[in-house]
Formats: sequence, C-alpha cells, structure tokens
Amino acid sequence: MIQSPRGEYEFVTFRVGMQWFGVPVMTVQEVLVVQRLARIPLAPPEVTGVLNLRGQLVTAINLHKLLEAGTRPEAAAMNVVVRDGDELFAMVVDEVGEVITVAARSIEPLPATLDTCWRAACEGVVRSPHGLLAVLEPGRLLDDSLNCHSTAIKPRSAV
Amino acid sequence: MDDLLRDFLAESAENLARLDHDVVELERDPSNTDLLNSIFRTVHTIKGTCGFLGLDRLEGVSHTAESVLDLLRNGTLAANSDLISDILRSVDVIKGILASLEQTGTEPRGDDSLVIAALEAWLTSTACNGESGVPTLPSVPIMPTPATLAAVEAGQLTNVEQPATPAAPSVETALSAMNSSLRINVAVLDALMNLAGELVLTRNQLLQLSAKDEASVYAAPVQQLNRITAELQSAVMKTRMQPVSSAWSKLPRMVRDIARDTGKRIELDMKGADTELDRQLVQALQDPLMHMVRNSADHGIERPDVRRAAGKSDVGTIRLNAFHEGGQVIVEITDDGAGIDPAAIRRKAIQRGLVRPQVADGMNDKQVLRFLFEPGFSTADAVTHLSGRGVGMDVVRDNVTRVGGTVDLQSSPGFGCTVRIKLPLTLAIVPALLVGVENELFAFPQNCLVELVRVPVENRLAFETLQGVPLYRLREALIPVIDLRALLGLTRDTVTDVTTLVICQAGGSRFGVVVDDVIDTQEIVVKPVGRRVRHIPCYAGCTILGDGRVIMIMDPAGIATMSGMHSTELSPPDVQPAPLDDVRRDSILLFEGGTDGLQAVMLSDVARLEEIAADRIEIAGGRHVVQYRGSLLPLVPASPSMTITSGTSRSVIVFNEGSTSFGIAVNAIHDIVEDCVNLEIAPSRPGVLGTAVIAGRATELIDVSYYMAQSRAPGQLTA
Repeated sequence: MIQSPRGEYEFVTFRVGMQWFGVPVMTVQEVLVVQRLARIPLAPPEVTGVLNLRGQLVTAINLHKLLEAGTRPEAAAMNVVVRDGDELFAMVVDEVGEVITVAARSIEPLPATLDTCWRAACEGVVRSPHGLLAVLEPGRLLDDSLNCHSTAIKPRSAV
Repeated sequence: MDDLLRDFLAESAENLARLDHDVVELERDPSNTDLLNSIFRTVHTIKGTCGFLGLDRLEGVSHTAESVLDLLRNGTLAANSDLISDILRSVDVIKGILASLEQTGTEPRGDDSLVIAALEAWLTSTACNGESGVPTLPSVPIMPTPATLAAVEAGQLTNVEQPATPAAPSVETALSAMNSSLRINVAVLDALMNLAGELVLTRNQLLQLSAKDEASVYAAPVQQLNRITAELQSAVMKTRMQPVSSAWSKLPRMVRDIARDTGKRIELDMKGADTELDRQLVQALQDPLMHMVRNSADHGIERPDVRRAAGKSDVGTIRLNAFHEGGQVIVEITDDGAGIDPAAIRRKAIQRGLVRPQVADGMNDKQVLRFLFEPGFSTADAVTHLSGRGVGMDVVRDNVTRVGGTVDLQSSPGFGCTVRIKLPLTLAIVPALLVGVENELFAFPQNCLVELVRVPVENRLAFETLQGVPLYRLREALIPVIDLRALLGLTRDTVTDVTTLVICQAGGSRFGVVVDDVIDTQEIVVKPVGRRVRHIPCYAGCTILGDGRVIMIMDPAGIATMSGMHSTELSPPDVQPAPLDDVRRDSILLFEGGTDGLQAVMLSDVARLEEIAADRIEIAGGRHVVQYRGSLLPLVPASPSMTITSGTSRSVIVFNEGSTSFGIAVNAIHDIVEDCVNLEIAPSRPGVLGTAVIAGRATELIDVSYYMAQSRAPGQLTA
C-alpha cells in the first residue's frame, strides 16, 4: 500500500451488506453509478457481467458473492472501478462513503479467527465512524486463486 | 542490464537472424562478394562491440570466425560445405552466448576451444598452403582450384547446388531499406492499435447519431472523420505487418543441416517472401512451418539413390509459397518426395480404433489423410517408413486453428505432398456474424463459418437424433447440431418458427449451431475477455458494438470442445484440396435439376438456398410463385419436365437481380465444391452454357440469364 508522505493512508470506503470496507485511494480509478451490463453466460457466480467504460472493458464483480456475504446487492448499487495489472474491475457495492485518512499505526492486524478467505483479501482493520473497517487490497481480492466459495474448491477448469 | 548491452543485444539479434540465411546462401553461391561482405560486417560488428563491453568468450569466437571470413573475402579460402558448417557452428555458439546474456546479463561460462580450433585449422591450412591441416575434411584441397569445384560437383559436398546460381538480389535493397526504417517497441505499436480500435468504435457511435439527422451541421465533419479514421486504422494495421519471410528465416539452415545429416540433396525454394501479415500471426506460423518443413526434409524427400530409382532428379525440392488470396494469407509447403500412402494411414486408423473398418473403406483418400491431424497419430510406432510424418501434425493444426486459420494436406504417393495453411491477415479486427439467442447478441468470426441454413418449422424433420445427439442432414452429410441456448445455459422464453443453423468449421469437425436470428455482419475489434472468464472455452474475446453494447465473440473450436466433440467420424469435413497449379478456382453449387447427371451454377450468382413446402407454392399470373420475405418470388423449374408442386417440399435456389428475385426449383441440392470451370462441350439446349468436368463428374453449367428471362415471361399455367 502506498503511504502518504506524512505516514498516513487514505482509503475509499464502501459498504457491502452490513460491512464497511476500505481500499487504498490510489487503486481506485473512479466510482460509477450502475451501468448497463452485458451478461456473460457461464461466467462464475461473482462475475455479474462486463461493462463498457469509454471503450475499455470492465469486469463487474459482485462483492456479495465474492466474499460470500450471504446478502444481495441493494437496488442503488454503485461500481467502484479499480485497476489490477492491465485489467479493470468494477466492484459492485451497496454504498460508497467518504475518503478517510488514517495514521499508519492505527491499522491493526487481522484477528486470527477471521475466515481464511477474508484473511487472504484483507490487509488489516481500522476503526472508523462506520465501525470496524476491513482494509482490502484489490490485487489480492481479485486474484484468481482467492476462493471464498466453500463448496467450490475444485479447480476452475472443471467448469 | 545497462542500455549499452541492451542495444547491442537488440542489434545483434537482428543481424544474426539474417546471418544463418546468408551463410547458407553463400554455400550455394560462394562467389557472391556482396553476401560475403555482409556476413563479414555482421561478425565484425559483434566482435568490435563485445570487445568494448568486455565479453571475452564472445570476442574469442567472433574474432576467429572473422579471421576465417576475411580469408574467404580476399579469396585465400574457398567456401565449401565443411567450412560453412564450421562457420555455422560458431554462429550457433555466438547465438547461445547472446541468448544467455539476454536472460542473465552476464556471459555464461563455457569452453569454445573446439569451435575455435576447427576454425583455426582453416587458418593454418592456408598458412601451410593447402596441406592437410584441416580436421573436418582433409582430402579436399583448400585453394579454389578447379579440382575443388570438381569435388563439389562430384557430390562430396552433399547439398551444394549449381555453383553458378545468380547472386542473391536482396543484399543491396535490404541495406537501403534499413536506412528508411526505425526500430519501435512493439508495446507502442500495440497501444497505437488499441487506440485506433477505440477511435473506430467512437466513430461508429458518431455515425449512428449523425445518421438520424442528415441536415445537421456536423454531418460533413463526421463524414470526414469517418474517412480519416478508416485511413488511420489501415495505416496502423500496416505497422504491425511483417513479411512472412521473418517466420521462415531459420528454414534454410535447418534444411541444410537435415540434408547433410541424412545424405540427401534438398533444394529449398521460397516464393512470396515479402507477403505481409500481422506480427502475431507470423509468430504463430513459425513453429508449424518449422515442423512441416522438417517433416518434408526428414521423411518426405527420399535419398538420392531412391529418387534416382524412382526416376526423379537426385535433388529433392521443398517449395514454400506465400500469397494473398481473398483477404487471407495462404502458405503452401510442397515437396516432391515420396508422399503419404493413404492405405497405410487407413490401416493405422483402424488399428488405433479411430474409425470402424466399414467406415474407413467408404472414406476417400482425402478424408483418410485427415487422420494425420489426430493427436499422437503415427508417432514412434510408425506403420511404414513413410509415416512418422504425422508427428505433431495435431500440434500444427492446433497452432493454426488457434489463430483462426486452417490446415489442409494433400498427397499423391510417389510424387510428394502439399500442406496448405490459410491464415487471416490480422487478428485485431475481424469480420464477424452477429447472431441473436434469447435476446442476447453473440458474434461468430466469419473465418470459421461455412454457411447459414434457415430451417423453417415445417422442415424440422431434417433434424434427427442418434443416442440423443441431435443431427441435421445437410445435403448428403449428417452433421452434429449444438443448441447455443442450451450450451450457454440460457432459458427459453421465445419461440421462433424459423431456426437458423450456423454451420461452423473448427479443427477437423463441421457442425451446426442453432441460433434464433442472424442479425448482421460487422467488422469487430477483438478484445480479450477478462481473466475471471478466460477459462470458459467457448469465448474467443469480446467486442464493443457501435451503440456501446458489449457482446461476446464465440470460439467455434471451443464450442466443439465444450460439446465433447472430437473430429467425429460422422462428419468428415470436405475441405477441398489445395490446387497444385495457379489456376483460379470458383465455388460452384451442384444440384440435381431433373435432367440426367448433375447441373451447376456459380455460387457467387446465388443469393440463398431455401427449402419451400410444396403447399406454399401457388399459381399466380400463370406461373408458380411463393410468398417469400413479404413479396412474391417467381419459381422456374430447372428442367421443363419437372412438376414443381410434387413431393412435400422443394429445394429452391434464389437469385437476386437488382431489386427483383426469382427462384429455380431443383430436385435436390447436391454440394458446394471448389473447382476451376473449363467448358468442354458446347451447350446442347437453351438454358445451359456448356458442360464441364467439375469435381470429377461431367456437369452442365446453367445459364442464369435464361432462367431469369423465363421467370419474367408470361405464364401459361392455370390454377
């Protein structure tokens, strides 16, 4: 994660179901209202489709499904567009909050009892006005090997 | 790695690619001083620069090579096969060191004393003035005396061709071309290509907007933008084009080495070296080409004594020919070797359980040869000394089909073998057919499409099933049918009364894909699918349409794989063999028109083929008509004796002439073949242009204008 010159981190906050998350502000390209999505038949459940962002293709990822939150996107969902490598992803979230600045020392390690999938995707925990905020690293969250579907441990190629 | 080293590597890589070719060329034409100077310069440059960079090993080898080349240049030494071999070996060492430098940034450890000693032996041999100090070929005098040439002629030097071949023409032109060119990073070109693609999409959107309002002040500038965008796009495409020769620069060396190792005499003839195609495709072509030329040299071309016994010239020829045809690039590899014995392949296929004996007996040789493309067919446990040619042919086919190409093989036992590779010009922008399934759009790349078949609801009987596998009878062949809706897990909520079959050719199989509608054809920009969906085999990419919609591009090969289809024995695809000559071939539609024998019409004249239920055929204005696409289509029988309304349905060939259409009613559509039409017998009756041999059968070519006149003539029928 990129630290600001004053030893602080900036996070874009968003909510998925009841949980608030933060992603480093530098990884976020933009925030969009819901776009027209093209469905991709046979795609994994967390891929809701692909959208056209000014000529660039963006894979839309349903964080409810990806993180097995057990909830469904609310009607007024938003897209947080992040770049990972040379590919763009739109994380479908329920609400986008403010950008918060936190001191490096106030990021606490993940509790050991946390679900392995969340442990793989998260960097740490920060206290925020919304309660505990899980800090996500998009690169790790969107890594193909991240698999929160407890029933779907079999390799992808088996589809 | 510092910039100096990187520049050195980039420059050397370019030079070395040419070096192999030049050195082999020198062997054919030892007196070519331009060639010799060019080789000398390359090695000299490497030597000079590596001394500067402190690369000792490289300097040692290139220095010795340079000294030998210098003697060649001033005429003290004459080029012969062994000397050339030693030089090539030193070039290999240089390449090896450079490759390692590129990976690690440092010179690898190693011992080059053998290579250097071999080269030094040539140096000392001249110092002793022709005494036998040369380890590799002591019996041949070194000075360019007539005796040396005699030895060359006598075949001591296995594959030296006639020494008096004209000088390679390319050296000087290549030099002047270099001055006007510029080295650009490929990533920059790719970025340019992407941007041009985006511009095309934006232009399409603008065009759609401005089409709504022709009086708009923007109309003229948008038209201008349209034109410039098209020009920009083609210019950017050109930057990615490479001559096909860059894929075959390694071949002369390889053929030479094989010839030397096996004691054969092989001439490699390369035509159309400057045929250009997309960089990516040149790369995709490289391995398959190596493979097939190696097959030809190793297994195809016979040893000189065998050739002589067969009444052929001692020197075998492998001919590479590249050319553009119909928006595609064709690369042909022809050899005049032993060819492949179809009987052996047939036996082998039965033995391996690929086909039942009864089926194999019914297959023609062309279909049998297709088994060579089966994975692992005819490897070490080769049936005869002629096989073994199947080694890796499945890999060849996979590589070629992956980039949207096709491979076809043709062999005449005893006379040789031709492999024909067809490739698209570029992968970035492809013509595609847009189809609709359950209100979703999908694109099919045109290069995999064979034809479209409309099946009206009353003709559903043409679908059959075998063990639950749906099949469709397309003319004479049963082909498997895949329902795209079911494949993609889309639920059915529309019922259509017309089914459209998209007949695809992928790999070795031909099959029909059921779709709801055919929408349009478009040039689309192929974009890769996201990595989260990349594992789904049926998608080749996605694209953005003019209105901003994103749609998926289907991959017919992937569809076949997902449906568990291998090159099924039920549908031996009837790809036509490559023509051996340069005669132009046409697509010809063959049909049975009620006369004896087959009749034919040029496919380019045909608009569509239809099956029309007999009870839809009416009589109006004294002739047969059918309601077709909102208007009346007059029908003319192919022969006067035919009763159009007999039977349950009637095959109709539809022709368009300006804004009017008419149909010729025939008994059955037979096939579509590619052949050249030479009318040999003059017309016997009106409506026939003449008789020609097409696909091996005497066939009457019909005169479409005669039937058109008939369709307009006053009718005499009564209801």
